[in-house]
Amino acid sequence: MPFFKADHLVMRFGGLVAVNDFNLELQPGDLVGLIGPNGAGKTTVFNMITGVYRPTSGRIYFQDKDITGKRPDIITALGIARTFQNIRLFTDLSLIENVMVSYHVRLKSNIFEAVFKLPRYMRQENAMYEEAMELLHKVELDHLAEEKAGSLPYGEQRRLEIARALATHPKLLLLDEPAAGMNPNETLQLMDFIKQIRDEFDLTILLIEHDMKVVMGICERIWVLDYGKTIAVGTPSEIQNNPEVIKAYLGEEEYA
Amino acid sequence: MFSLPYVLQQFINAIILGSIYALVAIGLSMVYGILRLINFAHGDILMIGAYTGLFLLTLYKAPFAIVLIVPMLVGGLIGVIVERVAYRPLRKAPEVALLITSLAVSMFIENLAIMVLSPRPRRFRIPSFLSKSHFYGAINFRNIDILIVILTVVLVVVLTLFVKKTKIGIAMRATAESINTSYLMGINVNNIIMLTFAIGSLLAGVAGMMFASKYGRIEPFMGFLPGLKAFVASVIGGIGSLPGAVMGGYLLGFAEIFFVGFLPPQLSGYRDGFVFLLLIIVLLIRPSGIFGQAEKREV
Amino acid sequence: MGKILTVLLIELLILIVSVFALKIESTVGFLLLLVSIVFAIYYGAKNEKIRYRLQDAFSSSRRFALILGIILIFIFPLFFMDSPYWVFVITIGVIYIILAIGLNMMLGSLDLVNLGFAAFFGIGAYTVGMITAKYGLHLPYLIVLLLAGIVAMIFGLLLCLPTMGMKGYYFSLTTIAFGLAVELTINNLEWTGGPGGIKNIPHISLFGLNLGDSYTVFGYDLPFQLNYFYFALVIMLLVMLVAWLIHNSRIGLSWNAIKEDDIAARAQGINIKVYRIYAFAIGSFIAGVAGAIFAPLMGYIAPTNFTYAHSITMVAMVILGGIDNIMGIALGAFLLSIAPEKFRAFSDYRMLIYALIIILMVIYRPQGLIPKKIRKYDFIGGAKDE
Repeated sequence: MPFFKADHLVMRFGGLVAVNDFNLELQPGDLVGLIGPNGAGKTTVFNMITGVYRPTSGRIYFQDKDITGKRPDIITALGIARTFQNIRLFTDLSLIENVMVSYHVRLKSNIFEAVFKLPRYMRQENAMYEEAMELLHKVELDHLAEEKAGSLPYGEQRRLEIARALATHPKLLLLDEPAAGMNPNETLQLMDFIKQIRDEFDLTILLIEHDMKVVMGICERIWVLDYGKTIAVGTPSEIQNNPEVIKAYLGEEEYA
Repeated sequence: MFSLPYVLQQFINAIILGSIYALVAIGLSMVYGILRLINFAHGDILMIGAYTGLFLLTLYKAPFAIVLIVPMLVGGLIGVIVERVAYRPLRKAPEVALLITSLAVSMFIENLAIMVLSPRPRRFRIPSFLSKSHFYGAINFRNIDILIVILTVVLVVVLTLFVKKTKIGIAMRATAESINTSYLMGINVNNIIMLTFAIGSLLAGVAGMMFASKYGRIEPFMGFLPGLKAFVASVIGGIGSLPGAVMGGYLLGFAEIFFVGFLPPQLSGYRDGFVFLLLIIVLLIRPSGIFGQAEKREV
Repeated sequence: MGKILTVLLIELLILIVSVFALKIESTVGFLLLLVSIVFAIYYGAKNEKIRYRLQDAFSSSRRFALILGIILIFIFPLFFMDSPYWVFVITIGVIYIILAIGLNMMLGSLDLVNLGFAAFFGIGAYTVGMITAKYGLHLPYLIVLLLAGIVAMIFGLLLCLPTMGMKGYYFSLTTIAFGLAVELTINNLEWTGGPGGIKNIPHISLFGLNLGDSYTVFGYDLPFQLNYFYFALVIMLLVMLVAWLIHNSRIGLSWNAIKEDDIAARAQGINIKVYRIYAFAIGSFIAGVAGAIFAPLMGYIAPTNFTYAHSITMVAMVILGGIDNIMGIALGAFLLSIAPEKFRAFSDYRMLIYALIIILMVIYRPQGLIPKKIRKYDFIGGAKDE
């Protein structure tokens, strides 16, 4: 059994087939890209994996468990974290709180311990706080720990969202267009950062991205979706030379 | 068991009550379709319509045609004012702010009515030619009942044609589909919203007249329950949909009358409770209603 | 030392002004006082120097400020010994503070506009009424208080389950329905005394003291209402403490996360159903407890004490004072329960004025009089929002 497997996933909304027969296998440590034109069903794939949607048919396996249709919070607890295409931070909470929210899934203390600040909870919360600060440090936002998340500029919000996802201690991380809205310089930093966190946290990463520099630059394998169908799978150079991909996807966008 | 005339009588009562609910539900549903706002004050416009009618009848002895039309206009006007003063400043505010404001507006109107009109209920007497009863065996209904049903049908048909065929109607539907897109298409969204409030409130105003004529008694809080029930009706039909609101209104009318008419009399005190039970059941089983489409949330 | 003096002076000033505000007879005088208070606060908030000095003084002697504040609140009613009615009014104010804090757990922390909250209050009060007056059971009062909270909590969970997936209007309308259903039922049932309610609810007796008795201290005859005031105050302080602890624990944080974006919250591993159940359970328990103080204080309860209008009043209190800020909510609840007693005009049109306050607040100051503060994590491992 592979580390992660999506088996013949289909998602229909009414008459619309958003994803048709999607298959994906990941091994630990993979860094895989998922590309395709707008509306190809990439985010829908993420939503099925993370339990936001229940697939119309097909199964999803993660670490030998069938996780199809499980609740999002359970899937997160099992070790799959994500970011969102249009950043969904808790804008009214501070940066440190955004990250600390994610630790709750692993807290062992019960609510009475939490409310009355009993020793075990306090120990855990201390550890949590320090770890959260460390994560913020890693994304270079620790100096803003007590600012509201909504006050951050776009690129920093993306970084904070990744830190928040990391705080759940995922084994599989799903990044939905992490480079969107970043300038070329930030994008380069982001590419390094993604590779770095993969090694440091032993992550497997699946990412959706429109910026071909990012995808070709860091992904080891690439899945190409078009109209809900997988039209090609391969290494970056194979994808670049695949005539079907060029026709369906690269043809419509100027690709450098 | 129940006799046939009794059953028929219940049918007639249900159609009359359903007509009133349908008219109130249309306005509520249309406004929700565009602004994602439940206008709690909608029921209170019904009350304003009824009081306007009362004054025209008693103080000015106005002919009944005028007594029907003026409350409509007054209702429409109040609807527009409420939108302008309370809701427009909140176009970009979170939903919960709109909700609370709408609630407060409703309270404000009700209590203003108490202040100005006194809380005591008043009799609402309609001209004798309208209160004339027709008896067919054990079945009976009045002229006003016929008028209520016919007027409802006419208004619904006119409104449907308006929304389907006219340019403004199409703009209204476009705005309900997406405010932002309509804005970019050059539609004056604020005017469309105002118009929607005006039409909805117009119908609520005339529904108030009908309500008062049917029950013969009005008071400042009379709009509260019909307003809530119109919400239930639009949820049953699928909120945001015009035919849904009409169907929902009639379905609710039937459900309520049958509950009272065919179940043991000691339950009839729980008539309103039953309506809300219905709401909860619908929300649990089919939250998008009968005609509505499930709203898909962007993730 | 200078800082402590500042805190002392400010808190004494607040006490004196509040006593004066309630004592003053002429409406014009009261309005003048009100205007000058508003002006002073406005000016103080605008002036950087003053604001900084005050903030600095209060944050560096936080414990002193808190203890002094509590002492002053205990002294507060002693200025009204000549009119037991005012002590009664202030006690009702304290009960409403408890209610508003309970409501905030849904309304403020989760954006769930519960429009049937008075029902939980009523259920708590009726539980006490039924146990003590109707069935004449002689249970220790604290047990009765606990039972009132638990019965209200059971109804809270009863409302929570079918509304689990609901938000916004659907939720609010269902809670209206719930509130009306409870009101309708206690009004129709003979068992609960129908519209006549329950009469002759005995006074609270606690550790051998009967709160209905008038005690003599240092030669002063204290009105029995004062006993209720102190009892309600102790409960209020407890409720505030618990609410503050919850707000600063992972529960409060998760509530706020869910309120902002439930999908993102779930993606962070938060089980939103469980947290919703917490909010309903704790919130309705608190309302039940408030009812358990209210019933013996009044001695007589009826369905008209727990209507839709009361629910709206509680919503207005939270919105006026400041969503998710305990001090703000307390201020809002106190103001709105005292004002109708102070002004005849206010009393006649109170719902009208509440409505106006809500509309104006939502449009011009949605964060309330005292806005919510960002939790500080300045010391190791604990949040504070003060």
